[in-house]
Amino acid sequence: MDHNMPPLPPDLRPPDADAARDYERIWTALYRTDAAQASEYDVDAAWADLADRLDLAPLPDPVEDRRNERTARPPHEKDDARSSRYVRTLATAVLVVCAVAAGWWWQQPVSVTTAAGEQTTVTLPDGSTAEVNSATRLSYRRGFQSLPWVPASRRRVRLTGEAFFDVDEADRPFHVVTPNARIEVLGTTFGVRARTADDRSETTVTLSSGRVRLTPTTATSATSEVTLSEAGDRSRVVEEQGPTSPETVDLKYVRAWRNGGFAIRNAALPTVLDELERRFGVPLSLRVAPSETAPMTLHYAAEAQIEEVLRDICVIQGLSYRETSQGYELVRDD
Amino acid sequence: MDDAAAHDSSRESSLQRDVASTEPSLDALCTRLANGDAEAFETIFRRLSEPIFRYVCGMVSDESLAHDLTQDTFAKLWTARDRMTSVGSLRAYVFRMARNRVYNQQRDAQTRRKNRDQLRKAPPHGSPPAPDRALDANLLRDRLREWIDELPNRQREALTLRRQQDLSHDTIADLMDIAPSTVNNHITRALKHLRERLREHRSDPHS
Repeated sequence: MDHNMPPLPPDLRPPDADAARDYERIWTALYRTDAAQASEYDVDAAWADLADRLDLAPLPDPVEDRRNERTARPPHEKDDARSSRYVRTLATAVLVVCAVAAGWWWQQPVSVTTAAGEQTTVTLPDGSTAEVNSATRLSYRRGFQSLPWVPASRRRVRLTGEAFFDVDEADRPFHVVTPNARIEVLGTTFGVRARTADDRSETTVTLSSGRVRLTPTTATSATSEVTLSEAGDRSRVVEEQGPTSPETVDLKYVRAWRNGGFAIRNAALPTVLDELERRFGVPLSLRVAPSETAPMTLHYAAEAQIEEVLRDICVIQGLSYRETSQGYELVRDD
Repeated sequence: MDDAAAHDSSRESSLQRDVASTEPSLDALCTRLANGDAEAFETIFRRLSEPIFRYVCGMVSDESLAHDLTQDTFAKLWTARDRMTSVGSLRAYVFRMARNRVYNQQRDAQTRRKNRDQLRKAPPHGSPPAPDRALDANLLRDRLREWIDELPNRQREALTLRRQQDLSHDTIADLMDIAPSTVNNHITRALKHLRERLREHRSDPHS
């Protein structure tokens, strides 16, 4: 029994001795939970956050202030004039530096990065949107312009990972650039997946509506390009190979992740687990030789839960899963 | 009931004596806060933010959300500081602000709890029991957390508030807008529920 734990208040004590013992035990356990919570609460960090949010700067040290004043005060009038000229020069310099910095800032691409298990939707400067899947990086120029106030002739977004684009204003060019391919958009909605597996860059584009043109960026001849024009058309660029001629896929596989679901088609189990790790941000390990597992197809239209998916995988593959300290592991059924 | 009132009021007065001997009272700080004294605000934050955090934690059962709501409460306290002149008890006032935030969030929190319950209720096909079932104390604490989540909102609230040393029985009743005797009814019902769960758990720890 902990001595510093306050006892059950007497007005809550039941007449039955057995019940009283249980209540006492529950009360103590509740207090222990409280104590654990309190010990995790970092009041300094919380205050720093709040002060930052409310712009409450730490109060200035008055001694420090006075000392600064004394050194700043000039002894003679002549010095005064000189120092004011100095101040003016300094102010001009600061302005110039600011202008240069602003220009530099403008040149910096805006980037959006999602962690494993995280998804987001980005509205691009032209009103187009990108739904961004987990473990993805997307970047673009501020305002899609190389200089402020100069309208850009083309819009360009760089992507590593997976995203679904809905592009406005079809008449202005819109490009998605992945590490190994370029997608030229002709007014449309489409999904792009640019992941690196086994050190191979791979870009897959699936069209939802409109038209897009896919070109490998590393290929030597410019003729190797493919235009997708039917909903469900999919093409792929692997390293410098491709693009493959369009095949038709069921759009539900592209739609799933955007509705909080999960889908993968005809993939080896290690690939499925990689994808799940990214999607849910949970480490998964396979304690069985990959050769003993079979390729599989999964589809959850919406609201996928990691445990539900693992359970189904286990049923299909004849495995069991169990929770580890960080995530889950899949083992042979016994 | 008289017994309870006596118990609480003696605790409250001894507490006030403690506070008065060491630090400025909350009411004095409240006046300084109304005048825009940031230092007073910091002192208030350091004194009240952890109790508020614990209360919110008990209500929303998601620690990062509890952090956010606690921060929101104090941010609001600062922006509305000029209104603090007419506040009776600062502690009760801050608790009430936190409570409003919790209840505004409650719709989301309830959906979340429902989702989690569904996940929990799903039968664990193909998953062997975790190997460290033996850690009874930790397990009990985890279970307790689940059982508390099952309680109706007001029972959970009364139970959480009653463990706050600095809140008198009457303050809790006032905060929850109910009669003082109802506070104890809520707590007794909550304890009864937790005890039933505990007994079930004892008879079948693997359920």
